[in-house]
Amino acid sequence: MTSAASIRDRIRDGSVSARRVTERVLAAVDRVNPDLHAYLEIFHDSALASADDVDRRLAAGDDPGPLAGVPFSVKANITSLEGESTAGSKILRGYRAPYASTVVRRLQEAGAILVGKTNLDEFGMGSSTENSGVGPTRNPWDTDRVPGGSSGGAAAAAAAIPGVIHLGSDTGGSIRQPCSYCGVTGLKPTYGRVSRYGLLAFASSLDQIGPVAGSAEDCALALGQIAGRDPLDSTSADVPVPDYLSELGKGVEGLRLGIPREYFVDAIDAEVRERVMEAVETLRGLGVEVEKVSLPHTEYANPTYVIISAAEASSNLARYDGVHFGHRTARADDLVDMYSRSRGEGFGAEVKRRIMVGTFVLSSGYYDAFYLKAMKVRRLIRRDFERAFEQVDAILCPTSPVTAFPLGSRLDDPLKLYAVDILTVPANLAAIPGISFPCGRTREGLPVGAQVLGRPFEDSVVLRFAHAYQTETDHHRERPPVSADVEES
Amino acid sequence: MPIEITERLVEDIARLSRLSLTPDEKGELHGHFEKILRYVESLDTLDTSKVDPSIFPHETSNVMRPDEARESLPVDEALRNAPATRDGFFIVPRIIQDAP
Amino acid sequence: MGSRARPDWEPVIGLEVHVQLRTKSKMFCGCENRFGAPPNSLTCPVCLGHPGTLPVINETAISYAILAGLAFGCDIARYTKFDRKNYYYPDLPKNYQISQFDFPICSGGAVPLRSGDETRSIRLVRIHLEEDAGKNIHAEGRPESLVDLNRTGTPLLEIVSEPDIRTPAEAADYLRTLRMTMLYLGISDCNMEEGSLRCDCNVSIRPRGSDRLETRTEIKNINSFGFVASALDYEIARQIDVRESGGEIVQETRLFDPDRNETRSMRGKEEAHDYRYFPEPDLAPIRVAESQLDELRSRLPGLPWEVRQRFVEVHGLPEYDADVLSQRDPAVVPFFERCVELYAQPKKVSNWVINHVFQEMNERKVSLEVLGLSPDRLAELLGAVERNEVSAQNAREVLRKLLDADRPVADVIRELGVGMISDQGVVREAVQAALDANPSVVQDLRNGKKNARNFLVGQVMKATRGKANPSEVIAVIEELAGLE
Repeated sequence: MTSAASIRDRIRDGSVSARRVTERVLAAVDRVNPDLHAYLEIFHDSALASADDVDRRLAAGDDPGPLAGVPFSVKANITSLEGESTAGSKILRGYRAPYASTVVRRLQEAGAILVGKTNLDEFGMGSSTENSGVGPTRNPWDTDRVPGGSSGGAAAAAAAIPGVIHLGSDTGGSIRQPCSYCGVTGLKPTYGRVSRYGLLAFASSLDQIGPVAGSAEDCALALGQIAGRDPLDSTSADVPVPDYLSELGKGVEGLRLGIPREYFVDAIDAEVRERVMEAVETLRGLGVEVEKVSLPHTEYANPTYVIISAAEASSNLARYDGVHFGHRTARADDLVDMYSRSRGEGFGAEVKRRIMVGTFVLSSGYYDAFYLKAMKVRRLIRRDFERAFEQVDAILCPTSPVTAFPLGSRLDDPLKLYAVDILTVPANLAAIPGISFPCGRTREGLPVGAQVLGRPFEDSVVLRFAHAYQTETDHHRERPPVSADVEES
Repeated sequence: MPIEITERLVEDIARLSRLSLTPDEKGELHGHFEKILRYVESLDTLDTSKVDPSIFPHETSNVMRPDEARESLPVDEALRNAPATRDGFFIVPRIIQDAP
Repeated sequence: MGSRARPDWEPVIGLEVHVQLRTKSKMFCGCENRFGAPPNSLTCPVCLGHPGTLPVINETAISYAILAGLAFGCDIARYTKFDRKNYYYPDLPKNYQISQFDFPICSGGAVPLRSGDETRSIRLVRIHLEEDAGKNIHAEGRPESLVDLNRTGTPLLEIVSEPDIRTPAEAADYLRTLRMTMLYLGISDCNMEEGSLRCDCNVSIRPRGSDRLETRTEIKNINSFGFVASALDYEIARQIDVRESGGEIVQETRLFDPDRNETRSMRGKEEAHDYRYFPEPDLAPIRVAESQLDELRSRLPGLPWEVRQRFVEVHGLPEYDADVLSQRDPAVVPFFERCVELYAQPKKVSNWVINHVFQEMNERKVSLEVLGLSPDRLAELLGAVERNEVSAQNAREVLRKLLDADRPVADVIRELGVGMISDQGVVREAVQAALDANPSVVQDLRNGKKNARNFLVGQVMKATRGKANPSEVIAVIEELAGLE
């Protein structure tokens, strides 16, 4: 089975050229993308040019970098000098960023090859990728179903073509939930672990970039390159970056794993619960000590998230006004009219809803009742985790209460869509790392994801849990109906 | 005390958000907006009178840079994505209102 | 309006002053902080507000803000943070300004003003740091406005006073003191014409003796020191007229129009502002350590009011001289004190600096630094005058030459040929010639007419081109006219 790690090794030892790998990846993407609409842009020319550069360096005996020739994509809300950086929004159609994000720059400096940009819910707002301004992405396990979101393009692409590393972003579950729906592995790192410079902000205090890939090992490979302090992001933490790959080898024996009762409530689909509890047993078999824990404020996490994320979004998205970049209306009576029409035409319904909610909760007279209140509850949620982590090393729960749902089935009511985030938003509020990995499928054949949450900056611990599980099981190797191989046949 | 979501309030918030809404959008948004606010009002049941707000995700402070000048973008690059420019300036409809 | 005495009303004035900090780079990005560059040439993705960019705090801007706070005796916050102030305007590309809301970097403090023998303190509410906006240019007769973002992101101090100011003159004095303090601290050039110091005035009036705060108006767009007092004069008189004719003051923003010397209501679609402040999530808070405060305190120069006091108490200068010397240019202070060190007659040094050095600066429109006169050279020149090597009159000529090219004073005196005549014989010859040429004046002199002596001295000085020592000339006249 192809992995980014094996591609790296084979390019390094000369058994395949970077060009050959890149050609195969591009061909695979071209094959599956019409069915999935996972990629918004595919960079054939620049990817091949970069691959040739890697091959030249290898031939000359130069160090081509730790990820030389490894193919990667980024979600379209992460800037790159290649292509457009639209965040899936009509308001940014044609927008070419004048700078590359730190994560793209770091991966490219490590020799990795950017093959394209993936679809998302507009500005990361959504859980199905149906809110993309350029059309939805489909789930490779069942193309009538959503891939989850907002990093639905990344998760669908990872499921369909193993061996490519994808960077997504996670504000309330946007990496983990689509990984759960598409049967792939994705990490939301600790807040501050990875630079946000170049991530088109949705909610600055919650957003974090992280890897989506076929395995925990590939996530570790990517995280090792993108993690670390960035002078361009004041919120990136000055905490040493461990060698995540070698950390994986430490295993999980003797680690304590907490099962929070508040995460196994009635809203959780029975089959999801079964698969996740089976995963717990597998881990127990690996020497993990399993304990019950309580996170008493869990039920308040989602409303808290809705308030804080909307408030920050209302301000972060104010810059899309038709003056310095992006869409400007063709007809405007005056300046205020120009702003309002440009934004009214450029933003989709969900984005408008969140901007409205965010503007409201910050407005004078309502700030204390909503925004300030939410910041206080956020403290309580963080404390829940701090207490639980005195008892256990990590927490395991389902990633999402449900599996991939049919396209269009949750569009009529925003609360229905928000409900699929209830198990992922607490990690964003608490700024802790969380990983989702596949732990089997339902009778219908849809993947189920398990989520492991860890202490701040113990990203390696959650990676170890997922990796230990994946050395013991093959769920992450299962392939969906829509897929293509990078390996020579 | 739940807040009454009037059409006027929705219009005020839309204006403050600089969002023009079609009549259909306004109707739909009104309903959704009300639902969402009812939902988040559930926090009211929690007593937070003795809780400090969590303003920043981590306890770090004093993240600064030295005062050093770097090169700026070339003007044409700075203006490249702008919908309307002239003579090195961004162009907007004539401003009749002064800055707040 | 304006000139009648208004004994019944007392103006209540508070000032909001914005001062651009003279850092090398902008507040949150590395673009150069400089005035006068071609439009949009000092911009980058961060200050253009491009999607995905993030601000990073300029540490020097924080130090400068603390220095300003220390100078005015403010409480320096041990914990301070930035907040977003949300409003839409084309010169603000993010449509929010990074500013400070509930934890300003400095609070309290006061600006000491001096009028005559009295010292009055104008209390400060707060000083906070924020980023400046760009510039919108409204070209005459065109349907659009132009936006230049070079200024966007320049570090800006907002200094807010309590409504302690009572007269337009006091407001002008307050502003001058603020400016001079910033110049002493070296943190801003406070050039109103270039917009690096801007001032909004809040004005109300109340019956004298009342301590109520009445409805106020805010005057914006005062872009020259000269306009502050005239804008306030006009606005106070206008408010008095409104009140005396039974009207009410409307809380509003008014613009000062310097061409018509009046303030005008900014009508137009006024919208109630709701800035929706909230903590800036992209920036970690600042914790100010005691050691940092100590370090900054040690960098504080003598402040204008301290210098003034030192000039009076240590150097024995009259109040007027101390005022003028301390309020001109911070470079004057070390210049003056070095001169006095070398030529220990402070009043004489002061006279020279105020009357001659400042005049040269005015004529050449340059600062003391650019003028290029060293204090050692001025002391040397004053010594030469003292020793009668050159007359005070000719010394001015020497000074001008020194400003063109710095050389030893003696060389310049020689070159100009203005050295005092030390040869007694030459003086006697010149006096004799004057007496011979003016026999009737000599007669008057003998009859005790004072004017006659002065006339003869003048004739001799003219003949010697000012190079004779006047007291010597008088002695020789009296001797040769036989008055002894």
